[in-house]
Amino acid sequence: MLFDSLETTVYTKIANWRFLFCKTAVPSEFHLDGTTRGYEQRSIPVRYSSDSKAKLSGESGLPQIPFSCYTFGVFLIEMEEILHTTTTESTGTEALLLHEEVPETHASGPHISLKAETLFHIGSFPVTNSLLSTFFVIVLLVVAGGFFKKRLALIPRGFQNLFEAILEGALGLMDSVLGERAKSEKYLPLIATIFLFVLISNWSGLIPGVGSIGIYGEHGFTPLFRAPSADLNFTLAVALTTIVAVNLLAVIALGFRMHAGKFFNFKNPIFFSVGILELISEFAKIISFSFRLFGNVFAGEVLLTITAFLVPYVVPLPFLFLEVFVGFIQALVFAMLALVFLATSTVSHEAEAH
Amino acid sequence: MDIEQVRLWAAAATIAIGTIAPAIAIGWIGSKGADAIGRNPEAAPKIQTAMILAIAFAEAVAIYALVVALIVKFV
Repeated sequence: MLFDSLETTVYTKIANWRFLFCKTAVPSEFHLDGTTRGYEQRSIPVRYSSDSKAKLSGESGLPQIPFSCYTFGVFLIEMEEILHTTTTESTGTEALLLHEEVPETHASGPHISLKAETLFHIGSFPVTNSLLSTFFVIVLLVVAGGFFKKRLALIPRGFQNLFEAILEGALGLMDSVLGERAKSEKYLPLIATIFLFVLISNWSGLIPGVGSIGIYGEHGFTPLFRAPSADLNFTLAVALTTIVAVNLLAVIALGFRMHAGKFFNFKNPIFFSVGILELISEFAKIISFSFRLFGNVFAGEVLLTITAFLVPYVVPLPFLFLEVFVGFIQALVFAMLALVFLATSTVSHEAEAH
Repeated sequence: MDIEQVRLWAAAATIAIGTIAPAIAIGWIGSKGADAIGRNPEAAPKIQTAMILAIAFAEAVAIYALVVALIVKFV
């Protein structure tokens, strides 16, 4: 038949299993009446034990073809053995093919994926699970905002009391950094939006069902939702928005010439190199912003997944509390850093010196 | 050593070495913060805010190490 071109090559050894890759011709079309049409070449892995050095069966010395190959009308064209085996002629190979044993492709451990998985495409634009939950967070914030705006009253009641207290606290905190109430009120919308958005995004990963409800597809399990902050794209987007907004507000506060003068200063060489460093630090800010938030939240997700995998009951509870705290602190840190950057960049160097 | 082993060792080494300095830094910040609050309890809220920010900065270094370790492990 086709076994005349049997060749062996050395690749790797996994445990004490040997893998044999059979280059095969697989029928590309199956018909209901059992006939097949057309063939395409494919490599299928066949596993056999290295301990059992049984001779290949058959008088001709041909390897045993797995049963599944027969049932699907698969023909072996050539075989590559992936182990330290001397190149032999097809008749001399020592191996025993185990019937229907192929290596498992899906690990049974907890589902951890560094990047957000794509759920579906709109046109050529991939929609990932974290993008989906980001939209849910946005809708939640917008709806809540609209709802509370309608119910605003001069004499606060219920929820409005709470939010006014929070607002007072936030303004007080901003005063301590910016120095005056007028500035705080001017920049509150940006900082508070960043804080709320990041906070809800961090916490949305802790809702039961996020990360555990999903679809079993061709690539295994895909969660339907994922904490937005556990995706580097999200944190990078928020960081970019923040830095661009800070620079824009600085231009509005100081004028373009003054703000650009911080980065490009040709008065003397020392100021020039300081300006270049400032420019680099703007990009470093973006990276540190995005990686800090992503790292914290993703690490939390991994921690929760692992603890829930090891001990499903009670033990993950303290870690959940920890993650609620970490989510809050990271949102606070994100907003505070944005505030500090804003405070430093909306003050001119001349005013600083006096 | 094959590539999988190298990955495991690299991930473990990254996180192990990368967390030493932030651990020292966070301990230092915490001890100084406690000192400061003990000396001037009235300023506790201000000190705490500054302390948490400084801790977040120090922790960020450990988080970078973690991200690198995760990338080495999973990508």
